[in-house]
Amino acid sequence: MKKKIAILGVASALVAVVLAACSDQLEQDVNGVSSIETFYATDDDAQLAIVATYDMLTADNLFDWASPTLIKTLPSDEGTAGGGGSTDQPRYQALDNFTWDSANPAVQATWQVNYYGIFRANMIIENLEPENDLRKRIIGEAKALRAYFYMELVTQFGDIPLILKGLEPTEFNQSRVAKAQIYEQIEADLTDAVSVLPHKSEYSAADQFRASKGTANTLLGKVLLYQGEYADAAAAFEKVTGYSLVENYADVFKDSEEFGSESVLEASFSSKVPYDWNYPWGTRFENNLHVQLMGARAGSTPELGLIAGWGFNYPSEKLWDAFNDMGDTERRDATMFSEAQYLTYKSTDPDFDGSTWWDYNRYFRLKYGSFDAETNQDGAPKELNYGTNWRLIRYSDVLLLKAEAYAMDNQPGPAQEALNEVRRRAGLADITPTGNALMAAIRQERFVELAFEGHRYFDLIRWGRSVAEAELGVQVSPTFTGGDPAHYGDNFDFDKHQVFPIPISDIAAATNMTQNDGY
Amino acid sequence: MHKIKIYNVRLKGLMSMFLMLLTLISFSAQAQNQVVSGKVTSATTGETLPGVSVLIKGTATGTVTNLDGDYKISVNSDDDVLVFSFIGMKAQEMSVGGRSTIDVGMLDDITALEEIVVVGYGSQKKSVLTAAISSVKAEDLANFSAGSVDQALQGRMAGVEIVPTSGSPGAGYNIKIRGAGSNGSTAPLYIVDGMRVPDISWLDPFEIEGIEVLKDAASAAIYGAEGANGVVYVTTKKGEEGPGKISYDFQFGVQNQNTPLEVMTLNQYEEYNAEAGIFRRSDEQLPSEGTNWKDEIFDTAPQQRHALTFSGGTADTKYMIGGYFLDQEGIVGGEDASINRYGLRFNISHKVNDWAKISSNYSFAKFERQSIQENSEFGGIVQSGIVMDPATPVTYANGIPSWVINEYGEQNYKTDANGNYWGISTLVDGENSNPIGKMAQIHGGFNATFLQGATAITITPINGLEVTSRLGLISGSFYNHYWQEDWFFNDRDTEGARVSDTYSDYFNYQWENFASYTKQLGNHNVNLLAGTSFFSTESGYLTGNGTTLLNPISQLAYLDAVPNRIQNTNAQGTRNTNTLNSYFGRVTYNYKEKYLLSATMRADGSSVLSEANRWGYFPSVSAGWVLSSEDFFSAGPMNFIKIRASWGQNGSLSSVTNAGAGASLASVSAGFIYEDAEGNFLTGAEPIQLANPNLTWETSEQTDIGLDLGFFEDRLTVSADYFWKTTKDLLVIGSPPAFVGNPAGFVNSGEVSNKGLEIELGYKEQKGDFKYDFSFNFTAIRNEATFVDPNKEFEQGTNIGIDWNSATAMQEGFPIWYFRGYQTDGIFQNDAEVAAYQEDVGGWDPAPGDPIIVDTDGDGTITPSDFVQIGSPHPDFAIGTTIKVDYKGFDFKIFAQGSFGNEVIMGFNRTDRPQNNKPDFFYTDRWTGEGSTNSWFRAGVDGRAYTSDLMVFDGSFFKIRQVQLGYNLPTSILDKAGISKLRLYVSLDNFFTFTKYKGFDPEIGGSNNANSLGIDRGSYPVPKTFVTGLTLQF
Repeated sequence: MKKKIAILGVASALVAVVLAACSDQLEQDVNGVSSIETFYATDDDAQLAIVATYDMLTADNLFDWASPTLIKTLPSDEGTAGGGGSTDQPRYQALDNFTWDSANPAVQATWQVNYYGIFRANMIIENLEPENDLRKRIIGEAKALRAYFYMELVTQFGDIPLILKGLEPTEFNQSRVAKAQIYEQIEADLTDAVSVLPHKSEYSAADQFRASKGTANTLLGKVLLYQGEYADAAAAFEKVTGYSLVENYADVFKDSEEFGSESVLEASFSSKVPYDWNYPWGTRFENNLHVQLMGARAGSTPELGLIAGWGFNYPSEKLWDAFNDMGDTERRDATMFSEAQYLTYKSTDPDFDGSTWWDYNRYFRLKYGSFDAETNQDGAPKELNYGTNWRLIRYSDVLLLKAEAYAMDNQPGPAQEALNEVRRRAGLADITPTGNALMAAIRQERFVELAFEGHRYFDLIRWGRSVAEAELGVQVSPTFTGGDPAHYGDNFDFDKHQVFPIPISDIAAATNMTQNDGY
Repeated sequence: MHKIKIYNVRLKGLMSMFLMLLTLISFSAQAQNQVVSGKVTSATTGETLPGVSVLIKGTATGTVTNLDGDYKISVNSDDDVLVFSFIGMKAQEMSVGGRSTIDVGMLDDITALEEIVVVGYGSQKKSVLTAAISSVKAEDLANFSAGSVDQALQGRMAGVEIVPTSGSPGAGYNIKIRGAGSNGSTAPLYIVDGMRVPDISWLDPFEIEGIEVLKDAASAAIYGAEGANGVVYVTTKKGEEGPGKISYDFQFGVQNQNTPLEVMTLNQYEEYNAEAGIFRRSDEQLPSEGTNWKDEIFDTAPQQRHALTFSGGTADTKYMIGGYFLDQEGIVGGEDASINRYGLRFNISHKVNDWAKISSNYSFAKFERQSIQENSEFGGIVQSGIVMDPATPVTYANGIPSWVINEYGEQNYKTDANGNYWGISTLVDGENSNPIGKMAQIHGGFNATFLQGATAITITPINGLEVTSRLGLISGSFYNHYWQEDWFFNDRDTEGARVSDTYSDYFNYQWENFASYTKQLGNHNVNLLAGTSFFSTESGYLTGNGTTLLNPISQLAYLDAVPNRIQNTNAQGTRNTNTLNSYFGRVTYNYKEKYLLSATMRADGSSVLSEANRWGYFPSVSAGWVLSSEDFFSAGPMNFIKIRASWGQNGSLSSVTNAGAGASLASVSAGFIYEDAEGNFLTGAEPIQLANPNLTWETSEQTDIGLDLGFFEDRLTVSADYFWKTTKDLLVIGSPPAFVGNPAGFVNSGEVSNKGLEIELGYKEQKGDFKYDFSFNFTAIRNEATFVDPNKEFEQGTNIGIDWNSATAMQEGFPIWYFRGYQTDGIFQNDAEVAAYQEDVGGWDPAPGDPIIVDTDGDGTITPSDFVQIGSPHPDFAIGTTIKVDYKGFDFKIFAQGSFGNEVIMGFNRTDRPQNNKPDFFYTDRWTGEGSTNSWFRAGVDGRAYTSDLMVFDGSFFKIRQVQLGYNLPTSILDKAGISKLRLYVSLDNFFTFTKYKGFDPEIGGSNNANSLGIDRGSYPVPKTFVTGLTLQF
């Protein structure tokens, strides 16, 4: 019996040991994966993280074809969608035709890219301890970028969810907040950013891509202007100093002027990767493939330095006329060229026949054109490797916004001064309009100066129903017998189209979300 | 053959040593007054039976038969009764009755219901089992020319579907127990002698005593979080008390292709292309006879297998030691698609004293597998054998022809070993090219070694109580070496030389402690089990790639030899440990073996889940009623009837572990670049995944109602089960609202249900020398996804080619991974039909001869939103049947398996490569003008035909997997040579297939991805094998 007790004792002791030994073995490190909890801890982490936030400025293909810049351009009267036909990139055709809906993948993507940028900024702001100047500056950059992304969203979508931190799954069902609240947050972020960010001139040459005090002040002025706080807006724009217009307008978009004296904020693309035809579709490319998409499809035009593109985003006759009405050949010839000009280079091209081209208006775009000089020179396919940066904020935009703020604040003097600074660079004479004529001149100036840069459509919306309807709600009679029979002014409905719809997928995924009127 | 000789020499020496040893053991202690002797043989085969226990009834006195089946025993009186017993045979009693010689012919024990069945952490008699468990015995697995045990299990059990992912040697299997219970892995939990293992492909039939498949929740719930896909429990062979046995198995097989697929001949192909408007270069000269690429890729391939075992033991110590060697080449690729597998097993148990017993079962295995690219529509070797240009020869006898140079210019054309250039097509291009040439440029395979086993000590402190502590381990390492030479086969199929090496290893250990107490109180029989388990798995990998090579030769195909190594090589790797801590218990009770009850509970805690979600609890209950034990039951032909029912829950952790370490964590990845203002690349670190602290295992809930019947004194047994099983919390990629700002990783959102009927039937009869055995199983399962993420119409499955996106899907109300594509409604016969169609439907521009694509969503345009269900890879029902007949030393066996109602997508055709060659029925059945046919399309068809229901074929098949004839040489001859058994056999394995499918083979596991089941991207067919073999025992 004693033996049995001993054996039982040993057995139970064994079990006790096992229970004790195993209970704390369930905590295991996860290797090879950097978790958010352990990241954002060092200066290096901060540097890596802010680069990821800038990278969302170039996420034009992260969700398939969906360039935040092109999306804002297509609905405008600057041009048409183009492409190979009515079903080529239906998302872009719908944006041109005012037939977009809440399932439009490009609208969904611009929503998503901006919120992805916000998330990355949130992670830095939420997790990084501002214990030294570098980190303070990076938090400032994150706030400036968060303000930029929110400004894009609130302009394009109206009331939207305000997300300022990483959400737990239980917090995913957000509702939208009023635009005013978003503006308030943008102002708060920019006020913080202005106080910690250096002037652009204080950044090293390599760091010129970063958000600076000037970037933050521009965005601050813009958000104030959008809210009708004109005096404060003008004051903010006055603080945007250290920039100057590039002497020759055509040079602004050249590689040599990337991050140049006129650059307030840019999305940085690269031609160096080099991509081949095994293209990593649906990822974050380093190149600007939209330049190829939007290149003239007529074949290469070496006389202008262009190689053949895929034919999207043809300029409108209205834009051509606008330049001519102003007697502005300098900017016109840097922005677009006509079929007639093309044919002078291609008089020997027997195959040229634009008559069947979809959406073709007899004009080709040069701004952001498919320039040979902008793409890879080391043997990689040129079509796939443009390094052209999107100029998100230029100093001439700042000047025109400042002019607008002063004009609306009934200070025509400084408004004219800012306006004329832009005109002078284009070789145009000073003008001194006042009142409604002053605003009309500023509007027209923005149309031609900033064509194809993603400003026009939401400028028109901002300027109100009557302006928008006058410019957009017109059934433009076909200038050309082939291709697209008409532009879609009849489809324009200010009440509906002043904002994009909230993507249907987000309404499905968050039941507290509501839709914009008309969708 | 050289190897066999060596074995034989060693064998003889070992044999004599063991014989001496065992003789000493057997004849050690007998001395009484009256001596009886005799010979014990099998009444069935006539062979002598060593190791038969001979006991004087009512005493502890006894002996065992020696190697020749002879025994000698001293008895006390003529009234004594001798009891002869032997495992697997009916015990026989013989009165001495004054005889001094008693020869006995033992009959096989055919009472299936008395079999002992292994359940988790114990075993039970089948007659009192309340769970649904299927068993396979060693004898059914032996002598099948299977490359692996999984393959040998195909068709053996109801409710167990096993489909090869490929017919190539060493390929894996897609295993489903009771239907697809997950959108991810459906692999069951494998346990060998109590130790969890990743799979059982490394086991050889010689090692296996039996395999139990625990199918219902009542049986699997004792394995808690890992039992949801069922449990495959393998018991390896142990030594038996008695004289030592030496057994040698040899098998040699010749494999050949077994397929009805024919592709278009050169003339057909040229005609078809001309009709399609596809033309060659005008300067190309066609050969008089085209190349039959299908025949070129196939070859006869040998395989051989040797297994040698030594086993035996005393009352206290038992051993089984053995080894095997398998060498199989592929029917495509030969040595380039082959497996060599070696294994050694060492099983030993010893009774230390009257209360402690130890056992140790270990095995070592080594694999060497060479493989070719297969089952890929992007230039797989088998696919290229179908689609390659028949005008291209394998090699050019007289240099590169002018038209090739004119097409591609001077290029890096490659030659075979004789210096002849590989054939280059000017028409079939893209990824597809000369498959023979391609194989010659690609080299690689893996080496894996593996040590697995467990040591257990069982102590019995008091009667009925057994306490076991078992420590098991697996240590595995894996080395994959791939390299390729540079080549040019066409503009898109040109690559540089490169090398890729991957090392990975894992070390798993498992410590389990459990106590089992059995007590009988009158008519109440109780067994209590309680235990703990701790399982740890540590694994890591390191992989490196390098390009290009200094010289494309095997000696330089290593990373060290890559020129400018720092620039031209890269590496990835990680290492992680996962742990699982578990507590479990079971109560089993029966009253008079009539009313049966069992309940289990297991709690599992896993390190891969977040702390709040770490523990899961998995209960089960089951009950049975043996009606035939009731007084009111009057035995007719039916002598046994048991009704049983079970309910329980199980988890499946494999989907979470497969999702990778940190699947529930929010993570950051540093690895992309952004150009700064001076054109330098900056590295960025982006948050790539949202946290999901709620991530948890899939949970299945299963109810089973079963019936076990015995007729004619159990000669006929029938088991039937109806079950319904729902698995919820399937892992899918989450779809949070985009404003959350980051993609989600896996979330638990999905549910699938399987309902099924299983019938297993066995009939055994022995009449004199004539013994026959018939078994049959039937499975019918209805699978349906019952819930998917409501934000998605369906979960996307696999794509085929570049145009058929989500050709499979998981969608509510449909079978999991059903086939999606365009629905067709005949063929356009003329322009009028096209015009009428185009009044309502746009989006494409059909021509007569194109299929009529149905605008299923009625939106007036044909887009992929018109995709509907066009098929399902799951069979409506499946059967398996075996007939065995033994007569006077001859044995004959037929084993067949059928699968009915499953469909196959012919996925090796490509919309974007209309110039590719195709199966010949594309030519013979084609539409050639109005009224010619309404079922198959024209040459040059619109590409939508290739993403439509026309590519879906009935994949039903009936395969006679084995026809085997064996002969046991009579003992009278063998005795003289000191041999106890010699069986010779010939076998036709996988020789006969009946199917309507027009591809290589209707059995298409697809790949290791569950969502590719039934998709034929050019899958490697299962060969037919002519096998000869022998089994020799001493």
